[in-house]
Amino acid sequence: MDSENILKVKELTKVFKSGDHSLTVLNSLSFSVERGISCAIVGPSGSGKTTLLGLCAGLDNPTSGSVSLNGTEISSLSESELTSIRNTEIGFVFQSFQLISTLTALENVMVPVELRGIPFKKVKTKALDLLQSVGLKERTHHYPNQLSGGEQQRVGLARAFIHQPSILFADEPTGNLDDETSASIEQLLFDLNKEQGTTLIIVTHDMKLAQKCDRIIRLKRGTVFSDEYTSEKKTGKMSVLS
Amino acid sequence: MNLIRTLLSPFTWKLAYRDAKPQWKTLFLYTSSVIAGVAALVAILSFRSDVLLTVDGQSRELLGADLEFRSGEEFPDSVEAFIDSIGGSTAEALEFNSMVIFDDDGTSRLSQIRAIDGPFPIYGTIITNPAEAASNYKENRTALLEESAMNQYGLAAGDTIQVGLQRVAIEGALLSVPGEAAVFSLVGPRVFLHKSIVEDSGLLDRGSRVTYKRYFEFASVDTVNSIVEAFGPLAREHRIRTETVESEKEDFDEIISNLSRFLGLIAFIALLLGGLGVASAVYVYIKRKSSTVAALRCIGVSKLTLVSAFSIQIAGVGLVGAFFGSMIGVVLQLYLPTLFSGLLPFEIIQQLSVPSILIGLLTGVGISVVFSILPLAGISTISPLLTLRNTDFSPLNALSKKVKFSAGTFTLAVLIGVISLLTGSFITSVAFTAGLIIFIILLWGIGLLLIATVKKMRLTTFSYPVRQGMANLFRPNNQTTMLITTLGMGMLLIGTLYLSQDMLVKRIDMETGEDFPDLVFYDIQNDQNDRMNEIVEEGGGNVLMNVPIVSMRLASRKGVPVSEVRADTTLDVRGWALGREYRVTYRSELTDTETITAGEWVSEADGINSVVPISVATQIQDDLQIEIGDTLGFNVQGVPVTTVVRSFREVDFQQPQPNFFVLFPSGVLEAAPQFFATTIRTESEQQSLSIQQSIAREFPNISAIDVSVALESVQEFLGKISMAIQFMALFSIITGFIVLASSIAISRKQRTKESVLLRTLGAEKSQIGSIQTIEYALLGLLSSLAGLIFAFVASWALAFFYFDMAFVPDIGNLLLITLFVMIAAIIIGWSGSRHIFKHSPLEILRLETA
Repeated sequence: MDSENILKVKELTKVFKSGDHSLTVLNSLSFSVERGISCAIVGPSGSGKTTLLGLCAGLDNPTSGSVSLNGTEISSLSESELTSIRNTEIGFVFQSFQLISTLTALENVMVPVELRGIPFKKVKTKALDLLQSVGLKERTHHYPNQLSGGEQQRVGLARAFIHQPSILFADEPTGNLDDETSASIEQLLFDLNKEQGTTLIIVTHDMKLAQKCDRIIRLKRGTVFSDEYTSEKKTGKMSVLS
Repeated sequence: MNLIRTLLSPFTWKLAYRDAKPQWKTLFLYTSSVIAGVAALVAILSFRSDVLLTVDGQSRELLGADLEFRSGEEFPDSVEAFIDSIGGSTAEALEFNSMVIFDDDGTSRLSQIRAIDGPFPIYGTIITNPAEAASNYKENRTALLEESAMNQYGLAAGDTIQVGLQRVAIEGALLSVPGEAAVFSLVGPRVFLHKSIVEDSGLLDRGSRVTYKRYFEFASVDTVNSIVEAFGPLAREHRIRTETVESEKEDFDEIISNLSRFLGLIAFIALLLGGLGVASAVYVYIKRKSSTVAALRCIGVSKLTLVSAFSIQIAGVGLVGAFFGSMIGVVLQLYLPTLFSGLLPFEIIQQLSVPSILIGLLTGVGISVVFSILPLAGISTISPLLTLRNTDFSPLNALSKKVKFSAGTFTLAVLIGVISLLTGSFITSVAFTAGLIIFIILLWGIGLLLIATVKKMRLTTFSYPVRQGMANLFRPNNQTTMLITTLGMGMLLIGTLYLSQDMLVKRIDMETGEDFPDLVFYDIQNDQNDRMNEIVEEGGGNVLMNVPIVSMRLASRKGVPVSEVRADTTLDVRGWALGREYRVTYRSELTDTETITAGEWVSEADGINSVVPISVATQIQDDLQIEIGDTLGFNVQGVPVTTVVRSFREVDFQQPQPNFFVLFPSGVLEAAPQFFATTIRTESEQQSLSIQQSIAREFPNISAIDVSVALESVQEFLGKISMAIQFMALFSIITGFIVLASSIAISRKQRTKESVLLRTLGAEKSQIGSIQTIEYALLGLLSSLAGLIFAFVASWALAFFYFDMAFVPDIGNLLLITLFVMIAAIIIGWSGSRHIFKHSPLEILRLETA
């Protein structure tokens, strides 16, 4: 296992076929992400950000190339094996929050752990602590339709961290929020990340958010256009041009 | 006018078509709820049409003649003279019940004897096996015996049976008789004989209840009608009933019409539930269309055009659904006669009934549109601003109370109108509609209560899949309450029918207590009584009651001759109570089945020449319009006896023993010509059979009712009737299942979204599968419970207030029915949800940008 890098992408290619036409969304990408850092993936619409996120998170299979997560090549695993990895190693934060409407805030947070078969009572305390840390101590028994957008995203954050994942993927986490709420969510995201030592991968259009990350990978037309470390987290590595 | 103009506008139709085209399957599913109801309605209306057409074509065969005279006594000379004056009768018959001995061991059963003279039936043919037996039996002085009895006792043509004192050979098996339903053989096997055999059998003695019939053949209906009119005074005087082809047809038409109206109402329940399903589905459909409508409003399409376009869509798919329902109904029409086999006296001629199909189509479309009125009206409240603001729009919330009230009233009026057409009665339709609405509201309430209970029961001790399955019942835009109501109504109908039938069977099923008889003998002559009781005791039986019976007729009421009472139109005295033959007993004590309600019971009188104090059953008090102290004059087989009403009794006629309308005290009728009825208790079936055989051998005129055999016949008859009703009630359950399938289709995207989200979070397919299964099983369980709770309450009320018995429901079978509904709900749920595993977890990211 590569103790330094948690995510390793090697010559990753994804081609979508539609009838006689084929569309190469990602073209032989290669990069590695160090354990514990925060990394933003940015790029214009159609650059392949979401596709890259899906492949890195094990939600999709590449046309060619490989993705290794925590030393395991996930691009060749079965759906059942991927499910297990998603449940134990990976956390997700979504742009549209994606809470289960029929569960309370507390129940939504606990879903990833309960899916492992761990009883409600054993995980309840931790879930309550997480909700408290995101400022929702008084809203634990409210349903998503009773929460504001910012509150729903806080629940989403708590859910993403409940099982202490090795890596967390966030897809435009503040895309549906106003500036003030976005700022608080971003702060929470980085605080929790720092607290748990999770590696953070954020897909975003927001360059201000991207600048807060340790590293920014810029995509353009399915390839890495630039790969640079921000001034705060410069580790001496050169920026890489595609 | 604007509405009509808009509805007829080509643009409106184009808009409706273009919008519906990419989603016509979904739209069709929304209105598919009416299919089962329309199918049931078309089936029953077509069946009714077939039966009435058959009756029309075979009306003469129903009666077997053009005219029938029927009397409980031999025709007096004046009537015979009238018959001679119209050219005499073509055929005649005597009908009565008597024991028939089937083998040398004396195995016997109470049978329906038909003693025929002349070419009866004049119209139609008795079907026998062999076929020629029907034409030979009279000439050969042999018998036609019911096929079921021949099979039961292992008899064949050529074997002999004993009827009274006569041994008669069997000519053939009786398969069917025109105008008689096979089910009536459950009462007792039919035996056709020549009249002369019966006259020699010694059975036509005093005490036998015989119906005397004369059959006539005439060329024209006018002749028949003029004869009936001319015979009127004699008929009234001698209590002779006349039947013509027309009157027989009318009676039959009324029976069939009542039956089909009743079954039609049950079918209509399914249609109504389908309407509710449509309303719910259209509500969700309009809600989802709100952004489209808002966008169209932005570009200038008017409210009226939009309402019209969507109305056209709903009416269109409603028509398609009604069409499918009608076609299914036409197919079912072919099967319905099987359901009623044995209950109808002829084979039904089937043909396509266009009016029934048209009614089905119109009703289906009408129900679809009428129940969609409110959500369709809600379209007019969709503001173009919705394109800018993403709010959760409800088609109903924005409607004014006036609009809601008007729409509701209109829907109700249409419902009442349709039911009025089906039943032919406005009052019935109002009462039925009101009752149905109350039941639906109560079911809805029970549904809400059960859902609230499930919400509270989502205990943390349950595993996640169980809790999530329960929680799925409350997902946004859920139709859980609607499903519980529709499926629940079906369960209510089936459950109530089943529990009521079970109760009826138990009610008539005699307890095995010491006081309950298992054999009843009657037509026991005075000189046979002592010996008969000896035979019973020798056979080990126990005589429970040995009751003398004296026949008499009412001669006067309050001193006025019966003929004058009958002619007095100011009196409301029932004819049957004046003209019937009274079978009266005498004793000094009351029995357990009798309770004095007024006056005083007098146990003894001073002989037949005194004014005899009698007790009259309350059941006949109003029919005779008499009070305490009124006199009744009786003709006791030629001897006038004056009586005075000294008391009224409440008689429990449901008890299995001889019960009487009129009770004489002792000291009056002991010397009068009489016969006896005896109830007996035996230790075993073998003993019962042995006693019957002994008595049949020695006294072939004595009739016996084996109570257990009689009960079996009643149960079999009840079973046939209830099966027909349950079949129609099944359509309500089918409608519930269609609404379930529709609901799953409506929530398809929601389920897909939930599934991919859970898989993204690490849920195994088996976990997601468990969640779905639990959700569907719960839906089935809650629906069953809602309906069965009601069925229990209704059946308990029936048991407590009407049958006066303890309510002990058959839980086992009800649990089986519930299990069936749950399994069916799971199967239907999965057949509509299997797609959820086809979507990759990657969809979750695509949903983000959608």
